[in-house]
This record gives sequence, C-alpha cells and structure tokens, in this order.
Amino acid sequence: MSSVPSDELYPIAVLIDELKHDDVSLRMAAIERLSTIALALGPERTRSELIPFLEESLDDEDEVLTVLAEQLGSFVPFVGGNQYAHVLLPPLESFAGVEEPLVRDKAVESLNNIANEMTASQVEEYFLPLAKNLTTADWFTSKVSVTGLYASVYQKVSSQSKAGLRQLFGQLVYDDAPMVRRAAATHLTGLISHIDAETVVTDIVPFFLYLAQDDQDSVRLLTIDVLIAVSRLLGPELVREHLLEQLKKLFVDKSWRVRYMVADRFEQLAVAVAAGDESVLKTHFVPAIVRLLKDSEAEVRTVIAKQIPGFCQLVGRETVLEEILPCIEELVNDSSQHVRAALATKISGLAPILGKDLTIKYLLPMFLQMLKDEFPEVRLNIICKLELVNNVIGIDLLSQSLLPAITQLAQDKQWRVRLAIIEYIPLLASQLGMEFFDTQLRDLCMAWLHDNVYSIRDAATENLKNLTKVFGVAWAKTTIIPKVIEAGSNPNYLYRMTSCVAATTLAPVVTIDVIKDDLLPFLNNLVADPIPNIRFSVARSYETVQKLLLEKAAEGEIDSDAMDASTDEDAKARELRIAEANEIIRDVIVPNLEKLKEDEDVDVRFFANKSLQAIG
Amino acid sequence: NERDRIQWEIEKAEMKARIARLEGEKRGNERLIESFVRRINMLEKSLAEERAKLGNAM
Repeated sequence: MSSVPSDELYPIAVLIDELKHDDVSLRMAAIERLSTIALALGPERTRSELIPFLEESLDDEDEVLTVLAEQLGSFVPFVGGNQYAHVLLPPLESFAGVEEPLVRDKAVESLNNIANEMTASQVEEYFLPLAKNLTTADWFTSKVSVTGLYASVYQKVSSQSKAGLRQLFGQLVYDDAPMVRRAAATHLTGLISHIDAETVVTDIVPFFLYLAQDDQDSVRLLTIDVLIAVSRLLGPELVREHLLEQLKKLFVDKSWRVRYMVADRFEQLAVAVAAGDESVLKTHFVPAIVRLLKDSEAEVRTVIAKQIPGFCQLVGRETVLEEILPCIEELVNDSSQHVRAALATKISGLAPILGKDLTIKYLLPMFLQMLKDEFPEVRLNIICKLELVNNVIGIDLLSQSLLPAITQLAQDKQWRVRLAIIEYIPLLASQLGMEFFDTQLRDLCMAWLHDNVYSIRDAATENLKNLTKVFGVAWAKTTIIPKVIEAGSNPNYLYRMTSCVAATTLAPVVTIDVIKDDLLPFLNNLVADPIPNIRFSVARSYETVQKLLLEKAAEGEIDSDAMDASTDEDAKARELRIAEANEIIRDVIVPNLEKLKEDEDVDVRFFANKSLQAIG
Repeated sequence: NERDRIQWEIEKAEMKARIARLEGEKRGNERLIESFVRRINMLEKSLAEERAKLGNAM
C-alpha cells in the first residue's frame, strides 16, 4: 500500500493483485474479465507486456487455465487486429500440452478460432511451426491436441505445405500411444473434407487401412466414421477398389464394440459405399446385416434392429423377403427385451416397403406376437407406430387382425394385463380413429367400468377422460355420458360409486353446458341414495364440480358445441356466465349439500360440511 | 422430550450452516466488489491518460 497510487492502478498490477486471491472463484472472475485489462493497456502494451506475463507467470488451478484458454481465443481485437494475432499462439501452445483435457480442448478451440482469423501467409509463417512443434512433442498430450488443429490449418496453406502437413499427420497416425491414434482417427474425418479425391486415395487411404487394423478396438471403432467420410468423397468405384476388403473385416470384427459401431452406422455405410449399386449391396451388405441381426451381443442386435427399415429401403423387396425377414422373425422372440423394444419401434417401417399383401402375410403375425409381449415397452412401441401400417393395409384389415388381440388382452384373467392394455387405449384410439373405436372398442371401455377389480375401474374412468380429450366433448356427450349415467342405476352400490367417480373425472374435460345439463342432474339423483358411501362421494363431487363451473366460466372456454353465450368473447358474456354458474351453485348444489348436512351418517355430514365450507 | 429436543438441535445446526454459507457468500461478494472498484479506477485512469494524449496531439 506504500507505493504511489498510479502504480497501484497500473493494469497488470491490478491483475496480479486479483490473481493473488485464495478464492478460486475470484481468480476465475478476474480472468473472465481479462479483456478489461487488455482494453486499459491498449493493444501495444497488451502485446508487449500482458501476453508475456500470462505466458510466464501463470501457474494456477485447471479451472482458471480453462477460462484463460477460452478468453485468449477471442483476444485478437485486443492485441491490435489479425496482423498481430500470432502473439497469442505461445501461451495457447503451452496450454495445448497440459494434462487436463478440459484445458487442452479449450486451447485447441481457441487456436482454431485464431487460425480462422489469420491470413494464409500468417498461417504459413506462425501456425505451421506450431503444428510441427506439437506433433513432434515428447508428451502425448500435445500430440492429442494438435490432431484437432490440422483441419483448420490445412485449408489455408499452399499446396506444398499441404503435402508436408499430410506427412506430419501420418506421424500421428503411426504413433505409439493409442491415445494419439484415437485422436488422429477422430479428427481424420474433419481433415478429409478439405482434401481432394485423388490425394485421399494416395495419402489418406493408407492411414485408414493402418488404423482399421489397429490392435486396440477403441481405435478401430473410430475408423468407421472415417470410412463413411472417405466413401462419400471417392465415389463407389474407388471405394470398392480400395476399401471394400477392409470394410468386410470390420463387419466381422472380433470386438463387439466395433461391430456395434458398424451396426449403428449401417445405413450410412450402405449409402456411402454402395450407393445405387445393387450387386455390392447384395453380395456384401445383406450377408453382413444378416450376421449382425444374429450377433451374439444384445447391444449389437439392438442397434441393428433400428437400421432395418432404412436399409431395407435400399435393397429390393425380394431380398428383404428372402434374406432379412427370417432374421427379423427370430428377433421377435429375442431373449433381450431391449432388442425386442428396438425392433418394435422400427418394424412398422417395413410395411410401406413390403406393400399391402406381404405386410398382411408376414408382418401382421409378428405384430400380434409383439402385442402379447410381456415387456410393456414392446407393446407400447408397436401401438405407437400403428399408423404406418394403417396407411398401407387400411383400417379394415388391420382391425380384423388387431381387434381379436386387443379384446383378448382386455379380457385377460390377470388384472395386471387388463390394466396394461387400458393404458394404451387412448393412444390406440387416436391412431385408429373415431369410427373404428365406436364400432369396436367402445363397449370394451364401458365394460371396464364394471370390472371386479377396483384398479381396473379406476383406470377405466381415467381412460374415459383421456378419450374425451382425443375425440372431443360432443362425442363424449353422445356416447360416453349416457352410458355412465345408465350405470348409475346399477343395483350394486360399488358400480354406482364408479359412475359417480367417472362423472367427476369427466367434468374437467367437458363444457359447462354438459356439466349443467347431464352430469349435475345425475349427481342430484344420487343424493337420495340408500348407501351412505354414495351420498358422501356425491358431497365430495359437488366440491370439484362447483370449482370447475366457476373456473370454466371465468376462462370463457369455447368449444365447438358451446352455446352462443360463450362464443362472443367480451367481458359482458363472461360476467353473465359467472353469474349463471353462481346461480347454479346457489340453487342446485347448496340446497343438496344442506340436505346432506343433516344426514344421519357421520361421514356424509363431514364431507357435506367440508364442501359447503369450500363453496363459502 | 427427547425427540423434540433432537429435532430442535437438527434445526439449529441447519440454521447455523445456512448462516455460515450466507456469510461466506457475502464476503465473496464484497471482495468481488472491491476488485471491480479497482478495475473501474484503473479504467478511469487509463481513459484520463488517453484523453491527455489526445489533448496533447491536438
């Protein structure tokens, strides 16, 4: 504190002070605002003083270094524009060699940014030596980092330097450390897009062949993306000449991780390597997919199952029938549930390829079997994608075969099975349409309201609510609500109770008019029910219903079949509706609740009082 | 009784931890403000220098 104030405020002194904090977050904040320091110094002194200071004296936590590496990437304007951009390279070069991957990644990102802002001659002068230094460094971290730089440097330099760069990159490909080879394989794809086809054949293909035979499977699996990138560039003939042999080896690699990669990219590979060439597809890719579909590793089968429709689109229909379909039939009974679930999402995609007759003949049996699968996700996936099949074979044929399966499940002896199918009914209904549902499935849904098991009845009432969301209020008013009300006169009080609960559950999704005209009178009838359980559940329902009446009136919810009163949207109409709702509550609900309040049963009195309190 | 006492003690410990955390945050913010003030002073000074330079040139 003894020094002259002008020294105290000297920007680098300020920075040094800030970097002396013990608190890492404060040091990070200081570095994050490093641009302020540079701005205060001006470009000239930033170059001559700040950058050397950072280069020499900064030895800090990895978090701080990460932030610094990131900052330096956007520092070009602060050192005086791109003709001075090279002064930023030395600190970043040392960051590219540190041990912590996060710092290195940021440094590489920043170096790429700077390279993009440099002119071609600058890149030649400053970046090439840097790339060389890092490539020939002792420690593998620098080599790993530098692989990410080649693509941006390569596209800027002269053709002479390009040849040199390719050679340098070769050193990385043939490096002893698998970490370096992995990084080289990863970044080879980016580099390829800047190279012309001829040079790729002479220079890059050998790299690929070398890496694809690596004894580490983690290196081999990275070459598949390289293969796709190379194939896109070369065109089918050259690919067949140079790469096909290696590809065939990758198809049957002994490491499942490599086969997984192959399976995951199978469609892309087929497009890139054999685009439009039937013979290559048939002789090489079809046997490969058949083998992968029968792979010993479940993960491989899962990913290849997802590629089925895409690949089948490429090969002809006959091939699919003869070669692939038998394997799919086996997968339907696969021992792994994940494989079956993956297949279930994609198998419907085959319907448009096979056409109507073949779909009925081959695919439908598989569908029906998967619908009965014990794993719920398989069933769900099949039902989700039903629309694709529906478009091909038509609703009539689909329903003929699907309906028996659904009804069978709906009437299964095990209540958990019944419950499982109920959950899919709304989805199924939206896929199959209202007409189909009304003729085939509606009675089923109603029958569930009379199930012996409470959980089924409960799920069935929720189901009705969801169906109303799918098909609309008008549909509910004409088809569901009369049935529900009818069930309210069942001699067994449990079923009357279900009706009461169903009416309450439906209330939120229908309009005021439906509540007023249909549901409310129904509830009023139950007030005089001989069983107290019904009476108090009515008392509870009133509370929900009155709340909904007020809410809906306030929202001014419009529906297609609503009266004129709710179609004009001005405040006056709203007032009117609220007044009307209050009137209903006052004239209908409150008197009934008052009656229930005097009930002989203590529970009925309790719930009636509670509802009255809620009305206020 | 025993249970109430334990619960009370747990609550007390939680409150103490909360106080400690808030105090730490406050200290951190104070230091941050301090360093920001220094930076403002620094910028003010360099702006003044630039102005002076500009004035001399004119």
